[in-house]
Amino acid sequence: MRKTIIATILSVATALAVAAPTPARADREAEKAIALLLALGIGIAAAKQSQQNHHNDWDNDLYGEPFSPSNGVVCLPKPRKCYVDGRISWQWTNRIFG
Amino acid sequence: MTARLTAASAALAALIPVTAAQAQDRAAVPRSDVPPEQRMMMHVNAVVFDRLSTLMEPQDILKLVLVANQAAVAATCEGYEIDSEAYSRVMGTILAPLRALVPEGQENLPLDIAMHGYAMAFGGWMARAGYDAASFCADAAKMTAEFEESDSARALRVWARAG
Repeated sequence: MRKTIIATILSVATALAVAAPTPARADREAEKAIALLLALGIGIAAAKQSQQNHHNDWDNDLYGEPFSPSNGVVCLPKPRKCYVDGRISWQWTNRIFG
Repeated sequence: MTARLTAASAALAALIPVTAAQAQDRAAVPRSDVPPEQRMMMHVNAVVFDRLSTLMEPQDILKLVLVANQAAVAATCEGYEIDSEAYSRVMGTILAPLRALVPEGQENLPLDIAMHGYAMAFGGWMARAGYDAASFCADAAKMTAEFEESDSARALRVWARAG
């Protein structure tokens, strides 16, 4: 999946380069910005709030079902990250998700 | 005092391997149990992780978010400054796989998207700082302590050392 997305993004960049080999700098920058926004749009649908998949009031599509392995620690299964008292934790993330 | 003890016990527990029994004993966390300012940060970061997950390894996204966190601390809290050499080294390592995708001198959209994610995370941390700078800067001290807990964590530090 990751390789497919990267290939898609690179093909957009290549198409831009072929379509406009010597554009004015301002045009080139505008095209680059638009291509960037289009590429970012790939993830938008996945990040939208789904009202149908909520448990414990979390958006499970984005978070999974958060759990606490220890006092003050909250781990989010979907992003595979852990927080300690609201601070993202390198140690706890690696301990729980590897 | 209680919060300090909680943080200290959590830090100590992080050093102890998870047993099978402990792994099964993971209490669900209702969203309402997490303070709003923490949920806001989690949400910004979750969107960053979601967007970049198709481009980067999870560990690299986490590193990117942690560097953005440190940059926001340096922009907000007394006593914290970015060490430009460390910053360049850490960011260079995180972004190296994306740089390798495109020949030098050509447009690199994956790299631009990663930096967009970095900017999103930085903005989220700055919003958190704007909500309560005192608690945000207190968290930075805890982050400093966590950097000392392992070599892999220490390698992510981009702050200059005081003194």
